[in-house]
Order: sequence, then structure tokens, then C-alpha cells
Amino acid sequence: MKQDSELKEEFVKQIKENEGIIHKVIGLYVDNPEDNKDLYQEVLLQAWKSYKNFKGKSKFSTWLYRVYLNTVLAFKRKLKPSEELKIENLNHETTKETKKERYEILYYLIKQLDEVDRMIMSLHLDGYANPEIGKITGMTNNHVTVKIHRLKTKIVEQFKKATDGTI
Amino acid sequence: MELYKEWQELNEHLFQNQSLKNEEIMNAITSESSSAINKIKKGLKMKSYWCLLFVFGFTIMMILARDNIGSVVAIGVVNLMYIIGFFQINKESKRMDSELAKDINVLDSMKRNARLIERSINFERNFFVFGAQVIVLCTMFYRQFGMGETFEMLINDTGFLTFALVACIVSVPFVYFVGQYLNNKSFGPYISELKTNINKLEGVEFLKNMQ
Repeated sequence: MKQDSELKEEFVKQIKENEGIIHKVIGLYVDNPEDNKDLYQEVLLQAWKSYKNFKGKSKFSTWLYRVYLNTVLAFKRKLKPSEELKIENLNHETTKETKKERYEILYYLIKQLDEVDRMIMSLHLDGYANPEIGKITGMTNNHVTVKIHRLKTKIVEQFKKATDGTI
Repeated sequence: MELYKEWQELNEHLFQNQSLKNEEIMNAITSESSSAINKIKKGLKMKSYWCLLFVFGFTIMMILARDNIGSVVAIGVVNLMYIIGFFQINKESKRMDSELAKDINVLDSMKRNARLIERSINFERNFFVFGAQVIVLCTMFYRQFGMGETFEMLINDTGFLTFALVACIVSVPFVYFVGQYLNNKSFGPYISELKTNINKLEGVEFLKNMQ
């Protein structure tokens, strides 16, 4: 049985190795710095609380993803609504030029989706296979497959619009 | 596919350079939870403290009214309600902790949370409705006992019994709707959002859109 201090050390190390996921998932769900900080604390707290139950059956990043999504979706308190993003409002002249803005457009497009779709799309783009997404979310494999197909079509279309067809 | 490439670049450029400090992680894991479940738990804890305060107050009242057995019984029944309330609220709060396992998928976790919140809210409302009736009746009896009337006299007083019955009938829906309103105000939007997300994950919304 590991000591609490050992566990904490191990947890901190694992979190630091996978911190990109935290920033990305939180960034997809909140915009303002105050909510960002609150959600970030909540997510880490929930991850720590359930870390003792982590048996290493799946990759740490997969487990972490599940805890984050559980927290963001099931534990979410009332957050301030984010500013509505519309593809028409993106500035075409400036967005099509630089590479940096292209991936920012993609990020904004995913943020436009509803909570559940955002989660599915980010898991999919992070390379999780459909059965794995089904396991993490609790959805059926068929449902995941059809959903992803629809979401991808929608995002590709909007991405094309925002980048003047350059995809 | 270009989307994956953009996503990879997004990861590299926007999120890989952000670095968390050890102290930030340690502070976060010792901070207080802001989740809805935690909010309910805190609310329950506060209510249990109030129950204890009332138990203390009613016990003193019972001691002061010890010469009038009727008053002691009337206050005692109310006191008993608060004692039961205290233990039930504590039990509910502990049950919430034991059921919050995390090694499940998002859908199960959301269903579990919705169930816990609804159960806790229903428990509070039902207890409030039942408790309020007992308190209304006991207060009426206590008042009459203070005026020198006995239990036998009161149960044979048709006027008093009618008044007590009307008070109960009127207060049941009132207390029920007040409880419902307060709960809806505090947790209504959260529960409905949770249910919408559950439906979406279960494919209910998705199937509706397909039709």
C-alpha cells in the first residue's frame, strides 16, 4: 500500500506529463479566466480523489480524460455563458493567412458544438478509436460511429467556409 | 485528413507550452469542491446543524415546561422530529460519499449524479412536508395546553379539531410547493442540463433528430 505522500508525488508527475489534456478540455468548455481557474481546480481535485481507484488497466491519459469529462459534464456548476461564436463572424482575411489561425479556427468550431458533441469530437481527434470512445462515454459503438461521421462532415464544411475552401 | 493535422498542431502550439507548477496542483487537490453534489452535501450539513440547534432549544423548552405534561409531550414530539431529521440528513450525506465512485463511464456517472441529487431533493421535500404538519399540530396543542386545556378537552373540541384539520390541509400543498420552488430554483437548471446531456449520450436526442 502506497503512502499518501508517495501517491501525491506520483499523481503530480502523471498530471504534469499529461497536462496538455487538462488545458485543452477545459479550454473547450469555458472561456473566462475565473471559470477556467475554478474548473481547473475542480478537475484536479476530482482526479486526485479518484486516483486511488486507478488500477492501471487503461492508459493514464485515457483514465484522466474520463475523469475530466465526468467532472466537466456531470459535476459542472453553473458557469458563465461563453460568448457565442459564429463562423460568419470569423475574419476571413486574417484567418486564412496564417497556420496558427487555421488550428484556432478548428478549436473555435469544436467549441461551437454542444457539450456532448465537443467531448466526442475531441476524443476522436485525439486518436481514440470508436469502441474506446464508446467505453469512455457510455455510448453504443454504432451511435459513436454515426455521430462522428455527422460531426466531421459539419466541421469540415464550416472549416472550408472559414478558410475559403483551403482544406 | 487535414483536420487531424490541424488538431496536432493545436496541441503542440497551444497546449504543450503551458506548464503547471507543482504547488498549483497541490493547492488544487486540497481546495474545496465546487460541484453540485458538494453544494448539496454542504447544504445538508448546514441543515443538520440547524436540527441540532432546534433540538437543543426544544430540550430547554421541555425542561422549562416540565410542570405541564401536555406541553412537554407536544414539544417532545417536535423535538423527536428534529432528532430523526438530524440522523436522516447525516445518513443521506454519508450515502452520497459512498456512491460517488469514479471508475465508471461518463454516462453512468451522470446518471448516478442525477439520481443522487433527485433523491436528496425528494427526501428533503417529503421530510419538510411531513415535519411541517407535525410541527403545526404540536404548536396548536402546545398553545392550548398553555391556556390550561387538557388533551381530552382538545380532542373533544370539534372547533379545535376542525381548525387543526384545515390548518393541515392548507399547509400541505403550501409547504410542498414552497419546497419544490426552492429546490427548483437552486438545482432545477442543473438537473435539466444533466438530463439533456444524459439523453444525448443515450442517443435519445440523436434518434429524435434522425426521425
